[in-house]
Amino acid sequence: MKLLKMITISSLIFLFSAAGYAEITVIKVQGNASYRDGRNWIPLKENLVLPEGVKISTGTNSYAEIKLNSINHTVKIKPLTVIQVFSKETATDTNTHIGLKRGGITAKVPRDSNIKTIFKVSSPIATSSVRGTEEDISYGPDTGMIVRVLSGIIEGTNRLGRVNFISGRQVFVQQFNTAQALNILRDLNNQYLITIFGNGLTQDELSANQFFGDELLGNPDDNPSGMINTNTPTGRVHIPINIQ
Amino acid sequence: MKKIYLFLTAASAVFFLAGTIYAQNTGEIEWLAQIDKKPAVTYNDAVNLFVYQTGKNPSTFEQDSTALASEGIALQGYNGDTPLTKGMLSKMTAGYLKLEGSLMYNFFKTERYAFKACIANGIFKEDGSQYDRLSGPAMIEVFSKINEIRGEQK
Repeated sequence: MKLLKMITISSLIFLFSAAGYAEITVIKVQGNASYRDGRNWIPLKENLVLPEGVKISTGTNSYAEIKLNSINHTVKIKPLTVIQVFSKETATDTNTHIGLKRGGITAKVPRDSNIKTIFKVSSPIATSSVRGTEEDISYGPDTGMIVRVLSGIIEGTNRLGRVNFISGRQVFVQQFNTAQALNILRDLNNQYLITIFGNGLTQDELSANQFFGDELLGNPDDNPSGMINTNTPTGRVHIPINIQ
Repeated sequence: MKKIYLFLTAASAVFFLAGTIYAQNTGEIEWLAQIDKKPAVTYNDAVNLFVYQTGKNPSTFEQDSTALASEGIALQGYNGDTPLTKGMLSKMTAGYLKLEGSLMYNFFKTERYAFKACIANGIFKEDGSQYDRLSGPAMIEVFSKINEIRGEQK
């Protein structure tokens, strides 16, 4: 009976200890970057292992890069930034939460299909959840929280629970005095979504036309160089029509 | 006895040197933590942060102002206790970054047009005034943008 109790207790201890804290390690430091230990700020050094809930601050012209767990989730901390990092990890999932007090970070969250990943960055006014692999986040009292996606998709949620999904060149901007994030296409005003060439074709369409244009659009005997003149933006298109 | 003295002297030298290095490295971070709590910053605070930005450590207000004046950053006619406004910081920033983007600023190097040039470069938002006073976190945010722009320029 005693043996059974011992085994149960040890398995419980093992199970709870498995859901432990991830190892937060400093990868690179440039300039002045420190972490808070009690009331003191201690300079960061490469390969230093930091405790759970650590507060990190960088100075002017200074950067630091930290690894958050064993599956290489990393954060590059930009100049004049203060963050607090919480990172937990088990064999089947990771749970990372970064509090961004001010400044900016670039988070890289490589996906592992066998591991359930939760990766959140919170500022005083909004939270972003990474669903892709890379994002650039900044926060300041004047401009608010800005999230740009470098790769994949992210979910931006403000304090009222309003959600925006951001990908590509869309941007999540949440300011203090607004109930809703600004238009996610605000960076694309008067700009283009994709590059187009002469005749209004995209690069893929242009390549397809060069290879298969004759077969797709008409008789090669009429126009041996292809159906669409790609040399000039104002090229004419000849479309033979056979009415029977 | 001599050996003990030598050992003690060496140990205290190492201790003091280590202390100096530690202070140099964390002084800026501790100063920033203090600035973070300030509801209103002064011209002297901006001077100090520009000194850190140029890769040096601040000393006295007079010495720092002279050093920044030679780089076209310092302002004239203000003492260290003057509350910092967006216009003042704009003029210092425009001098530091050699900002363009405002024709009027190229002709008249005033705080008003420096503020417009900063808006054109995304450093300040349009919905403010050159007379707005800055809090500690707001001043640090401007320097984050300066760091970003400097990074792009490099």
